[in-house]
Amino acid sequence: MRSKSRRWWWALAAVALALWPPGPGWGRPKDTLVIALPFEVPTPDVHKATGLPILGMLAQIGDSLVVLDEKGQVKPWLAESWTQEDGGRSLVFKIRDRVKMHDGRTVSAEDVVYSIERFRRISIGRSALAMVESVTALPGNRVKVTTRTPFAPLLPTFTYQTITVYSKAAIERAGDEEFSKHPIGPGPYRFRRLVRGDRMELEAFDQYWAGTPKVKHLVVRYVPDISARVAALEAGDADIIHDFTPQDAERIRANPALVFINPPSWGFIRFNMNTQRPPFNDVRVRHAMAFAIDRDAIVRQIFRGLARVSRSLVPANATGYVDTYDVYRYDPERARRLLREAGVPDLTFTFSYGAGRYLMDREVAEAVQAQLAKVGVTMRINQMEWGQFSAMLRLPAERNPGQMTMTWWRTVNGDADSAIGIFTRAELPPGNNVPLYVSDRFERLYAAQQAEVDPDKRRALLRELQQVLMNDLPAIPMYQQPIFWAARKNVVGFSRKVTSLSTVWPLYDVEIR
Amino acid sequence: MKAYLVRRGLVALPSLFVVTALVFVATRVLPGDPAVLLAGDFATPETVAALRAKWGLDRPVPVQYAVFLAHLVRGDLGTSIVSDLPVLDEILQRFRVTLTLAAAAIAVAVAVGLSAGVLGATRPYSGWDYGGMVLAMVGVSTPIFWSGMVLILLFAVRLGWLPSGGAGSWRAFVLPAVSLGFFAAGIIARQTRSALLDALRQDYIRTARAKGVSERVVVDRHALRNALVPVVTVVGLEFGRLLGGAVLTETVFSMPGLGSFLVVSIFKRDYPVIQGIVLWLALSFVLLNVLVDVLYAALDPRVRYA
Repeated sequence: MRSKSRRWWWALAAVALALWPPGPGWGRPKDTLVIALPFEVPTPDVHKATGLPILGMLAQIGDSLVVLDEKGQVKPWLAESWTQEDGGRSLVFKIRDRVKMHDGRTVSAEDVVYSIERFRRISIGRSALAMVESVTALPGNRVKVTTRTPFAPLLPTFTYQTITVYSKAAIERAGDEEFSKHPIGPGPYRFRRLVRGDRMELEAFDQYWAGTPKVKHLVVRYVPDISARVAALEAGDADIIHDFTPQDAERIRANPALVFINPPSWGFIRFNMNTQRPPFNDVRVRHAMAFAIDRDAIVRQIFRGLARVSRSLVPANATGYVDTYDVYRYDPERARRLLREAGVPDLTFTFSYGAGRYLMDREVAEAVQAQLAKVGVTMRINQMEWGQFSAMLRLPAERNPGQMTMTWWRTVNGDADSAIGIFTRAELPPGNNVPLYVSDRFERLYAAQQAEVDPDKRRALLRELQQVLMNDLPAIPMYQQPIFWAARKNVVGFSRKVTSLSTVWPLYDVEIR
Repeated sequence: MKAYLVRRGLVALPSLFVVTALVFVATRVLPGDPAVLLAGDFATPETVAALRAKWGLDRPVPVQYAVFLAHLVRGDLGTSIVSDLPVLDEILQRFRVTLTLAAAAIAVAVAVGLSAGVLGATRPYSGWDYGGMVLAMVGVSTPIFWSGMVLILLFAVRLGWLPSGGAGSWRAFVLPAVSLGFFAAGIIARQTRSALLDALRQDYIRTARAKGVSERVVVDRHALRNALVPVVTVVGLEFGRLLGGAVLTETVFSMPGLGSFLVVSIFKRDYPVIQGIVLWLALSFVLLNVLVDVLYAALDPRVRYA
């Protein structure tokens, strides 16, 4: 009797297993694109959100006036054209006619003005438009943006996806707080719902001006653990993932069902040196550090060749970038000589960083420690929790204990200006001038390039600025922080959507085959 | 019983008050500024100052605490610095996931642990006993992030039977519940085995056997019921631990639960959320302890609460 009943149980289990169809991503609808990110969507309102990959996802709800093409050139988007006026102080955008919002209204110049003003009022990234004096609607569906003084990189600044356009009427109707919970814009995807700590769901907007999105649903999932993200992609639970280790990248490249995407990066890692306190207030010591660190070896060994050495304090590919002033090729003998000349042949200092903040940060710190030991320098590693570390960076010069620190920086608009502004006096802590760098020549050149509207003259000024920085060397440009995305092979068109800032352009023409 | 419950409630109140004070001080002592962390690398000092003013972080700490308490007595845990949403809503949304996960895991743990423990105690020093105890040992000593990843690689990546993470359907809870449940099963198995072995040696068991009662009834109705009192204590404690301590499982399986939310909130210095979650967990522990006490009375008629 007992063995008969046991046989029944086994038979039942076998049937259950047979009815449970296996296979990657089983049970998930084919019209849904799942993107797994390491960050949680804090709010669907891009004007209130933070985190670059998140901004790119939220920009699917709104839309930006201009975008960048694959060569980094500004391309019309919601604005079909633009002109410069008032000697470079004003930019006039012509907004496309008959573009629909998710609530059925047509996008007007008033919507654009209201959205830009809202960005300038509430966004954490509002400093991107700090130079703007006024934004006004003009007849003929045009918008005029005027700056206090000529500001050359104003146009590419509008590719920054946080400056997105929303429906003015919807904000006024719902009230600001309610609108943030359910934003309405003209983007390719409309907001459906946000499950906090888990996912955001978007739905295709079939009246999107550039064409109906090819995938009906877009789900942005929060998967904080790197291994879990990679496993989700391999299992087919996610179609696209962002941010993983170079080792994972190798595994993904070896998998024929997956595609590895590694776009050029506008972000780079630098080692800041406190220029106002010994030992790094002596430029010879700063130069010695640069000669003693083998950046090529770090890129080759730790990043498996998937990153790129930074040769300026401006990201490679940014407008105005030059690599000619990086003379610091690995030369331990020269480093030793400089340290002797500076009177610190057996230098000891502390290197601080926020553990786990940047890809492979611990491995890089340990590699540099070993390289510096070869020239007689003792580098003590102070691994800090990010909150504690960022608080330290913002302490004023007289109380700032940081000697050498690791931080990331970027350009938000593809222009060198956005990357080097942090070396100005105005950015001294509590701002972002972590090396506490002060140079009158740099200040003069920096102000001059912002006001220069002639592209060639401006390029020359940016070149000179980089020369000053690479000579004074308040920070060592280490490597371009690689951007890793991976997708399942049946996702078509995604690789051309990724930006150099870990965001994505409108995904309306990405499809699942 | 009613009087007992009221008394327990009154005793819990000062403890909860102390918890709020401790957490409040601890969060403010932590180095790091939520405004800087939220504003990120892009922020200007003006932005940071504006954010600090918005959340009242520029006011003296005792004033901040008084404001927090004033809101708390009205049932308002404040607003999250990161999401700008009510903390209570944020907690409730995640607590549902955590409670489901903890309940599923404890069900796995009780089923596996109790079975292994009973098998071990009724057949001591047999293959069943050694096998069960080895399983218990493996369960307790296997790191959850490792067992979790192995389960994902096998059942989600290789076989494709279950999702690799999330909390969208009941299927998503299977792997984390097994991963988490096996850990607790080890502890329950060991406790059941020793308590049942002890009960089986008692005089009343010998009497029952002498009366000719079947071994199954002896174990199920007489020995196990007596042995369950310490087991219930362990289950209660484990359940409490799972409510607040499933951080690793929630992270590996990308589950939007309370544990991982607390960790993220600590990293972001989201003070109102940290305070709210710790208070919520403390309250859950108090309620769970009361429930365990009530269960004692149900299991053992000698237990009376005057």
